[in-house]
Amino acid sequence: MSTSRRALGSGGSARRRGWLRGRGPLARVPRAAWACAAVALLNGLAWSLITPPFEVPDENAHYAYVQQLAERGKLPRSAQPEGFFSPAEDGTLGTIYFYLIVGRPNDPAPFSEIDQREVEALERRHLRRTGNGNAFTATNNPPLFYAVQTIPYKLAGAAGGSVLDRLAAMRIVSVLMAAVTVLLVYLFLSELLPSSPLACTAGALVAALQPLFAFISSGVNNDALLYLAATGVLWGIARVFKRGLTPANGAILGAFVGFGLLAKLTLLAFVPAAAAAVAILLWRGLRRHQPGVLRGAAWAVGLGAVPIAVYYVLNRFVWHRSTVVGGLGTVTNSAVGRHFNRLEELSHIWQLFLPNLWMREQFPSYMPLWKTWFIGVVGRFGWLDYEFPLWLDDLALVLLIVVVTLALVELVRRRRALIARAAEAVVYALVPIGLAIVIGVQSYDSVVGNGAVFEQPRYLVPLLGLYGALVALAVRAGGRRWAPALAVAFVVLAVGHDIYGQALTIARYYA
Amino acid sequence: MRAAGWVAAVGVVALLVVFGLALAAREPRLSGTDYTPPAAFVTALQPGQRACQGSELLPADTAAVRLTLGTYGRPGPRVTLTATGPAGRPLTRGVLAAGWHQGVVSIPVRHVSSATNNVRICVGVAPAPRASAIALGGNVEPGEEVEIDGRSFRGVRFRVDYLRPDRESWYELLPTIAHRFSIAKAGFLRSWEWAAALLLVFASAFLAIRTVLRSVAASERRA
Repeated sequence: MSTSRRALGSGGSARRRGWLRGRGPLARVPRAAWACAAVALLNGLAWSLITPPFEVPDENAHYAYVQQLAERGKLPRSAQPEGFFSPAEDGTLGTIYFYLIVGRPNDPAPFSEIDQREVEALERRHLRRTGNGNAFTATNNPPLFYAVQTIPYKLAGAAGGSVLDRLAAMRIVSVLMAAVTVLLVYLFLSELLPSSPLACTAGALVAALQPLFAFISSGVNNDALLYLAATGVLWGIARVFKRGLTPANGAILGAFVGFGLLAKLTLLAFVPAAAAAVAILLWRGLRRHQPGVLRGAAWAVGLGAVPIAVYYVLNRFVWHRSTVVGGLGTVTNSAVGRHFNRLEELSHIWQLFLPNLWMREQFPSYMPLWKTWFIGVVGRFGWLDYEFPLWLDDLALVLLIVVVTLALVELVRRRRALIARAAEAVVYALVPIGLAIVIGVQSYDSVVGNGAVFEQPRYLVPLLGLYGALVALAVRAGGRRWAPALAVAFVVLAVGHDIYGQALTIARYYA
Repeated sequence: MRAAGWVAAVGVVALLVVFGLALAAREPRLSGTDYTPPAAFVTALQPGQRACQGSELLPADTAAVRLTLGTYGRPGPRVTLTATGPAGRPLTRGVLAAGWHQGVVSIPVRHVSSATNNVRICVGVAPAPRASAIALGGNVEPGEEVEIDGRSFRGVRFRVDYLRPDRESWYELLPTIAHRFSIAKAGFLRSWEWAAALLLVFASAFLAIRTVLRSVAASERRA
């Protein structure tokens, strides 16, 4: 008995060692993938130090959610009167001039030693860390990201940390999520283009250095976990298409959908693509009598659906919180005298992402495709209050045209392979369509409900994996002769783009 | 590999040149601000009048004060600016000679080397007949007040920016930025945050370029 137990034990520890070093799944991850993740980690940490506290969008609300969860062990609930966080957070926001800086690009972060002394005086007061239970814009979010963030919150608190110390510790965890996201970008690309490690490296590095991704992921914002899960779903889809809908692959895909939905319900946008992938491969597998395909589908559906179903039940019947995130339902009362109209909603979604062709104008003063999405994704930072100069957007447009052209050339050149993988390509196309619908529905509801603009450039960052894929395809278009030069050129340009974004941020807050 | 190496070398040199030139641009730099949005002209001053507001933080290393001033289309009159400490102690003063144009205007003041809180800033217009009226740019701010010749006007505040001496390049400003990085940050980061940020920026750029070059070398070995 003891011998067999010892044998089991030693086998277990050997497996553990194998997982880390020798033969386990982590050991099979290419070194280049780790290097790309390390670039994302270093870059994200740089952004987290450069960006002043609470200057990542909604960081005050996300901090309040974590604080509520860590201090009271409860999820936040809408509470009246709105307008107050905990005294500790409110006091900190006041002393660092948060409300005087946000949205005002000419007003910098605090400069003076007098400001610092006021921050320290506030910290010495050890104000109460519980508020009225409200977390503003974050209140109705699912809890997974915040549950993870309670760990750095508590650790920093145990070391006597203030609000600013806790926030800095939480930012490190967000940056770790960004590093894992980039690792997943690489893995996704290596499933997509297995014979082109150089293209995968270039795609993942350009993704790691995307300034908006790095900026958002450097703050406390559940988008960081959404990006990770969204990229994981893409990786899962690529795996099931390349390796089959085995129980393990089904579980990976389902797990990323499941925990992604618990990070942010925006991941609903990826559900149609994931469901289509599972349906296609289940149908193929059953036709070909592939063993395990049913179990693979069951794992995918189970891990994808059960967590959100459990969350829904708990949210509704135990926590008594709102089960529908703002915008996902239809508007019943408008504060601006508008009426919900399904046709107009479709027109709104179209015009939000594409040029208006014949419809009634939804955005009379600007074109969202250019102003919101293109300029915004090139780089609009802070609480949407500063961005690159227009010449850089024009240059970025030229570069995008070059990259898209090269990617199309590559797709045309490999059209046989593309046709053979047409179903997979259609599934990837469902991802941006799904995201456009999820954003568009909320955007229209926001306009009809209260006349407010809902959409922000960061809502497109879940497509980071596809952005990396575009670059990887463009690199491959160079063929054996030009691909190395193209890969290096794209990475150097991405480095310049990212450092310019950081310089812009330093100029915005510290000069 | 050679072509990729050349692309990397040329790219890095180009980035160094572009950023190097951009960092050399010399401009007036802030030493501080009172964070009042310059949304509108909120106060008018007739010749000989003086507007004062309190609760200003006069930052260290200030050599000019920047205001948004309107002149109703006329040439600007002579304007004086004084800053007094909490006990009425004069801290600095400056004069803007007549003839300036309306807009954002800098008034040179005697250099201030240390910061003082709760400072009172007063802006005065030269008396008639040679002077004309001016307007001060600021915002409606509940709880604030501007005093004009001893009479209180509640709910408004004018914008005050404080400028450092001369025009400075980013290189000259670097030590100041390093110090500013340490203000209102996490305690465990304060003293070394700027150095860590700089190191991380360069490390991530270096690692990215090294990774892609290694990948190029590996792909050529495979071929």
